[in-house]
Amino acid sequence: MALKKTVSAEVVPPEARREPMSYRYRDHQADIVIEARGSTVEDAFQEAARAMYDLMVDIDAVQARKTEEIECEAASIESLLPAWLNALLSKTGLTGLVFSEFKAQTITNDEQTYYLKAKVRGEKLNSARHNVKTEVKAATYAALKVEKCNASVFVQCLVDV
Amino acid sequence: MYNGMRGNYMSIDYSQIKLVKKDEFRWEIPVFGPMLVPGVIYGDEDLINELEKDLKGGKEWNALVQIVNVACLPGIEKASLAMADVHPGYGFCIGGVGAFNMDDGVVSVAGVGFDINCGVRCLKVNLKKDDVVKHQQKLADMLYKNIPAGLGSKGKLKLSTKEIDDLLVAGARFAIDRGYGLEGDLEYIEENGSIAGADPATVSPTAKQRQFSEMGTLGSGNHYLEVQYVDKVFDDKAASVFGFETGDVVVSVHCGSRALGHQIGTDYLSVLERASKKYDIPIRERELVCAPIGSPEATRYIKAVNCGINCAFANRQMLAHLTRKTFCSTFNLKPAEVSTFYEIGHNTLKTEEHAVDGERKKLIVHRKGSTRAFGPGSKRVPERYRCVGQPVLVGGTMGTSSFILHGTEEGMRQTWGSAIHGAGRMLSRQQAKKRWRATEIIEELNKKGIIVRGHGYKGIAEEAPGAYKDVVQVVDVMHNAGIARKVVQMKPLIVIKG
Repeated sequence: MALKKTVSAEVVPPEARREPMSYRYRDHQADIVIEARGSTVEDAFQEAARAMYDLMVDIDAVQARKTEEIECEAASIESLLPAWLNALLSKTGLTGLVFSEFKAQTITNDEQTYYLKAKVRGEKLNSARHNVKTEVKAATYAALKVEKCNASVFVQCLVDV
Repeated sequence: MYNGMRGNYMSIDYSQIKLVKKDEFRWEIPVFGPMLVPGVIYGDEDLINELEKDLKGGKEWNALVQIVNVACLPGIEKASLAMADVHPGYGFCIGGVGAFNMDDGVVSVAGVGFDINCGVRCLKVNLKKDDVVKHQQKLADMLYKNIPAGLGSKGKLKLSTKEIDDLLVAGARFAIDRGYGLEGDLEYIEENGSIAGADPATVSPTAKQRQFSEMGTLGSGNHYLEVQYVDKVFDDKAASVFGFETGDVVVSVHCGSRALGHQIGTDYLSVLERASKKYDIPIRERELVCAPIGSPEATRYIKAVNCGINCAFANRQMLAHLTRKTFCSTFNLKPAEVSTFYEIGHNTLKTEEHAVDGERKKLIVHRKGSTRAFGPGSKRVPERYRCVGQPVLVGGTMGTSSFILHGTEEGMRQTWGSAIHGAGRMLSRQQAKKRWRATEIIEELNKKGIIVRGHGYKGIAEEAPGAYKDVVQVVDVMHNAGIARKVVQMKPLIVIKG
């Protein structure tokens, strides 16, 4: 069986309610690479979170009934991205909630560490309503990018499914 | 703020990668630049051509680059190895093996992964294929009902923090003590179902809390429970020692350490990131963050991995016993008629002694999507199987074949006693979902007499057999290379997926 060259991104058609191309997925043989974009780094991180939950469930069916707080930190702005995604997965694991709304405060840092606080909203996972898709084990450090790109911020991260 | 990779990430000129054929089933990437050892890849011409195509085609994530990156890690011994089911992973390739000496070697999360001790339990059932076929639908329904699987599924045992701490040390023994299994199960699990050197204090409260209700769950993705029958015997003597005949029914359960393993991985990624900088370790890719063996960070990580290993042992023990009970009630069998044949892990790091340049050396062996395959005579192989070598359980793709191989002395010499773990992916999940529909796959397998029950349809499309390499081809490479030799081939009757 001939392999297709998979350098070009596979695009998931965006929902009408979202800005086009705010997030998409790239091919990786075993796992999935999330790409997200925003006008600020916080915005891009929020979109990456949406992308991750959209892998797990039908995110449009997740209602914002409960609010949780997320705090995370990392040694670099790049590793703050998987730290954020993994903090969300931990929260889901502990509470049984899946999230559809993400509001991050401005990322701060000192010499050693970057910090992110956020409020996220969602509801208990409901297999019947949420169209359960793929379990995400963790966000990794592979394919990691946090880059300024013209007027926006582009982020990328591989998640282990 | 956006400087890209900083610190001690050193670049390497991957255009210098060459593949040199050493023999019919073994290729080498000769040392260049900062590589400390060569890369060694097991494959045939077709499999190697596909790897080369990815490299020459500029594929962003490719296994040859990952093999080279691992070859640059401090303290790596002999070679950065890749088994025949190799495909790109993160940091290490899947099918990757790296052994490190205790003096200047490192430990890496990428060499273990997030599903610590993901592996396979193989049960032997006192039934023949036709016995199962008569009650195939009923058995499929009962297994689907009794085995918790899929995203959000909960296990039947709810544990406290104290109980989780006990489990992380006792492993499969914990589950047996709570009525999930038989004493006789333990001898036929790697490490007798409980690896030494596990310290629950190195595992975060979050990891433990996430596991409270996940014990005894299958998970999803490429995890499965398959009822199979022995279709072909390749080695009569080994099959006789292992206790197999054509038509025998077996059950393979493929899963790992669940949320606890995932959380240990994420917790220690950031610990090892800081350690890489602290100890000034040159690495080629961020995912290869690591710590020197003997450092406090590495010591804690190893102890935490051992906890994850024990968690997976306990998880599979519970699933095995739920399977046992289902067979017993469906077919009116006694519990002892569903016995543990063997259990392996294929995402681990282990402290082992191996021959290096004529002397015995203690090494830490990372196997990422690779199964331990110790040879005949090894004391770590159950006494009954020792004259043959360790059973190596190789999961095929959904609806195709699985294999049981055995380890060899040649494997001990060449690959630290390591072999493949499955067929290895060829297509991405996105590509698989575009090409196949779950309903088509289920129908196709039904025509072959295989019942598939899944808790999620997308997972079935992602796991389409066509998305994987040919497991027969991959197994034949390891057999012909003398690393692990075929004993029996199994075909599925029932597939339960998360």
